[in-house]
Amino acid sequence: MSGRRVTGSLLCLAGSGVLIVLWRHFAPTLRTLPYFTGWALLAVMLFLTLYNARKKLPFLPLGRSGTWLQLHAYVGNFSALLLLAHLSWRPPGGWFGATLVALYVAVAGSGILGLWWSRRVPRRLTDGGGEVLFERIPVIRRELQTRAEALALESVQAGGTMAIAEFYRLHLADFFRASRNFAAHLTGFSEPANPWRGRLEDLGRFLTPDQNQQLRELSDLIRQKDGLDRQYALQWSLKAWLFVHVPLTYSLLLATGLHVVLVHGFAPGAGLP
Amino acid sequence: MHDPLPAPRFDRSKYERPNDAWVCGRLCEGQPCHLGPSPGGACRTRAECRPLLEVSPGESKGRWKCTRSKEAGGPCENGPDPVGGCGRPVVPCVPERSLRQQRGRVTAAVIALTVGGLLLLCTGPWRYRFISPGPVSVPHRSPGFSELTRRHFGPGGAAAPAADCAGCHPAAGGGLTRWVQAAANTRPGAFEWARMARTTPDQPTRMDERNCLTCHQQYDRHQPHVVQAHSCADCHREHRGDRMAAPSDDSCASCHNNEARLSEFAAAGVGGGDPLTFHPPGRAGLIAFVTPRSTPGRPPAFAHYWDGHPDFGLHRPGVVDSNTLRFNHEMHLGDTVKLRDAARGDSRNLACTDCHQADSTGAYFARIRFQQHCQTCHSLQFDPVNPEVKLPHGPPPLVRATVASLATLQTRYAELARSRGETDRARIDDFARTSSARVRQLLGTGEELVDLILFTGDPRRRMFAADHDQAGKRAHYAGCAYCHEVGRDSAGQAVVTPPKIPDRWLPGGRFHHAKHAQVDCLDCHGSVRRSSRTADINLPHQSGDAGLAGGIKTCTSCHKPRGAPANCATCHSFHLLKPL
Repeated sequence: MSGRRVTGSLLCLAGSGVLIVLWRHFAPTLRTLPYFTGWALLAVMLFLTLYNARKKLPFLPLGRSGTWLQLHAYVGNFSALLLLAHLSWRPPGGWFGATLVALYVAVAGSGILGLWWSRRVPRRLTDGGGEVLFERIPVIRRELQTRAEALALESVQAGGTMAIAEFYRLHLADFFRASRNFAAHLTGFSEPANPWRGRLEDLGRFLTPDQNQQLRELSDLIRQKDGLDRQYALQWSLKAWLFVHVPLTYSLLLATGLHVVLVHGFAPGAGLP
Repeated sequence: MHDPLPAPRFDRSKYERPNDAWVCGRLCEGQPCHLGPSPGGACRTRAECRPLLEVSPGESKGRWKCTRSKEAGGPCENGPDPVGGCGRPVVPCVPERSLRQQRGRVTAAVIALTVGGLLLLCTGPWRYRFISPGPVSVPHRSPGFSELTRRHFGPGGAAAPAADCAGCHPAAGGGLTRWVQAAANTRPGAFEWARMARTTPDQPTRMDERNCLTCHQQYDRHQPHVVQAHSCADCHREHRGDRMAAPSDDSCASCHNNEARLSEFAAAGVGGGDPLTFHPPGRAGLIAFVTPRSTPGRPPAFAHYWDGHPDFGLHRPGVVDSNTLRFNHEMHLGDTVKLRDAARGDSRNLACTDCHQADSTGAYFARIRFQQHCQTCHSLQFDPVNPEVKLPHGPPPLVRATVASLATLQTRYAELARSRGETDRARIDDFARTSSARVRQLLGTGEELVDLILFTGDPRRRMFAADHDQAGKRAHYAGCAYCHEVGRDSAGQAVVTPPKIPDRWLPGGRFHHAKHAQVDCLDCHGSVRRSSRTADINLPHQSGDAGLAGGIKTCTSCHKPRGAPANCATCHSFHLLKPL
C-alpha cells in the first residue's frame, strides 16, 4: 500500500472517529444535530460532485486529478458514516426517505464498484499488453482488418492456393470486422483466441513453408486483434460505470434539495408568513 | 498465459478530440474523415480535398491543384475537375455522439426524470404519503383527529391526509410553494446555525404552542415546580409507527442529570410542599400512599436509571404507613396461622396470593376486602354454642342494631333455628329466648355488650372466643378494636377509623406485577417476614431484606444495560394527569 493511501486511510479513520465522538457527545442534548449532520452531508456530497466539474476544467490550477480522485474516494467513504449518523443509525422512514437512501446507496455502490474496477482493470490491461487509446481502437481494428485481408489475397497470388483465403473468408472475416468476445474479455475467464491457434496449426500441416510463414503472420494479426478486443472491452467498462454513477449523483442532489425544503418546511419550528 | 502484446502500431502524432460532442459516422468502420463533424453534429466532408487555384505569373486562368493530405494518400491522380471541384467526392456520413456526449445526455435524461418524478410525487394526491417519514401513531390518524384538525387548522376543506398533516404542520394543505414558504419561515432558519446550536431539545417549539396544546389541554406538562415548559416533540417522537416511541432517557436526563437546573426549579418554590401536588393519586377513588416531599424539594441529579437513581422516597426516615388497620404480616405468614384446605383435607400456611390477588389488568392488586380475604378466619362469631350467628362487618351503629336490643338478638336466633330446619313455632321461640338469655348472661346486656364488642382488642380475654371451632380452627374474635382503631366521638358514640390500605404505594411510578410473575413475591417484599406492625412499609428496602439487592437496586439488578429492557418511561410518566 502506498504512503498516500495509508495517509488517506488514516485521515478517513480519524475523521470517522471524530464524527462518532462528536455524535455521541451532542446527540443526547442537541435536538438540531440531524440538521448539522444533514448540512455536513450535503456539503460533502457537493464536494464529491465537484470532482466531475474538476475533470471538465483541466486548464484551471485545481490540483492533480489523481489527488482529487483520492479525496473523492476517501471523502465518499466518510460520507457513508455521515449518512448513518444523520439517520441516527436507524433505517430511513417513509417512502421519500427510503428513496433518498436508495439513491445514495446506488451512487455510493456504483462508485465503490467503479473504484474497485478502475484499480483492477489497469493491471489487467498492462499485464495483457497492447496498450492503445480507446478512441483509436476502431481505426487500428480497421488497419488490422486491412492487413489480414491483404495477407489472404497475397496467399492466393503467391502460392496459388485458396486454403488461407478460404479460411479467412469463413472464419476470420467476421472476427476482424468488429470487436468480438466482449464478455470473455471483460470477465477474463477464458482466452477466446486459443481456438484460432489450434485451427491455424491444423491448417498449416497441409501448406508449404512459404504459406506457413503467411499463416504465422495471420496468427500474429489474430493475436493483435484479440488484444485490441480486450482493450476495448476493459476500457469501455472503465467508462461505462460512470453512466450509472454520474447521472444518479445529480438525481441524489435534486432529491436532497427537496429533502432540505421538507425538513425545514415541516420542522417543529416551521411557520407560514 | 501468453506473452504481453506489443502496443499496436498507430500514428501517435494524430490528434484525437475525445471531448468533442460528435465523432465521424465512419469511425466505427475505422475510417473517420480528417475534418470531423461540426460542433452541431453535421458532416462537413463532401470531398477528399478542397482544390486550390494556383495562378502562375502571366497566367490569367490558373490551375486547380489537389490538396489531399499525405495521411489520406497525397494528391490524387486525376486531380480536381476544370471548375475547381474535387474529383473524389465523399458520401456524407451521419455523425455519432461521442461517449462523453452520450453520458451527458443520459445524465440530462435522468435529471429530467428525477425532476418529473419528484414533481409528480409531490403534487399528486399521494404526496403526503410519499413525503411522510413514517406512519403516524394511531390516535393521530384516527377519524376523530381528522375532525379536530379540520376544526382547528383545516386548510379550507382539504382532504385527508393533507388535513391530518395540517394538524401539526402548517405547511401541509398546500403544495410546493407553501412548503418552501414554510421552510423559509422556520425558526431557527435553515442557515441560522448558531441559533440551531443553542436550541436544546426541551425548548418548546411553534408546533408545541400552536398545535399540540390546542388539543392536549388537560395535561400539565410536568411537576409544578418545573418552571420551564418542555417541548412535546422532544419526548413524543411521531412518525415512528402505530405507537409513539417511548421517550428516550436522554430527554429525562436533560433535567434530571442537571444539578443546576434541578436546583433552579426547586428554588422557584412553585407547588409548595404539598406532596399531592407533585404526585396526585390519579384516578378518582384510588388510595395512593402520600410520601412527604424530601427536604431539598427536588430529587438528586443522576445519569441513568440503573446508576444513581435515588431510592424510593417512602423509605426515608420517619415515613411510615399511617393505615389504622392492625395487621401482622409476620404472624399471618408464619406457622401460627393455618388455612384449612378443604380439597386436601389438611391445613397449610398462608401465601401472599391468598389475600393479594391481581386486579383485572394484572398490573396491580385488587383491594383487600374483609368478606373475601379476612372473614374466612375472622368470622365475627360471638356465641360459642351457635357459631353460625355472626356479627355484621360494618360501622358501629350496625353492630348496635344487631345485638343491642333483645328483640333483635332473638330474631337472629329464630332465623338460625329456621335455617336448621325447625318448623315448630313454639320450639323456635324457645330456642331464640334461651339462646339470647345465655348470651346476655355470658357477655352482658344492651350497651354493655355493644361496648364489649367494639372496644375489646385484647385477644387474651377470649370473651368472644368461639372455642376455636374444632373443625376449622376459627380465629379468636376479640372485638372490633383487635383490628380497628375504635374511639368515641364528642357525643360519646363509638367511631371506627376507616382503614386506608393504599392501592398505590408509588403513585409516581408504574409497576406491572403480572410481568414479574416469575419472581417470587418475597424476592422483592422479603421484609414482610419480619413485619409485625402496620406501619412497616414492605416495598423493596435498601436495608437488603429482599433476596435481591434491595431498594431501587432490586429493580436495577435486572433492568440494566444488557439486562431486562427498561427506560425512565417504563416506570414513570412525565405528565401529571389530573384526576378527571
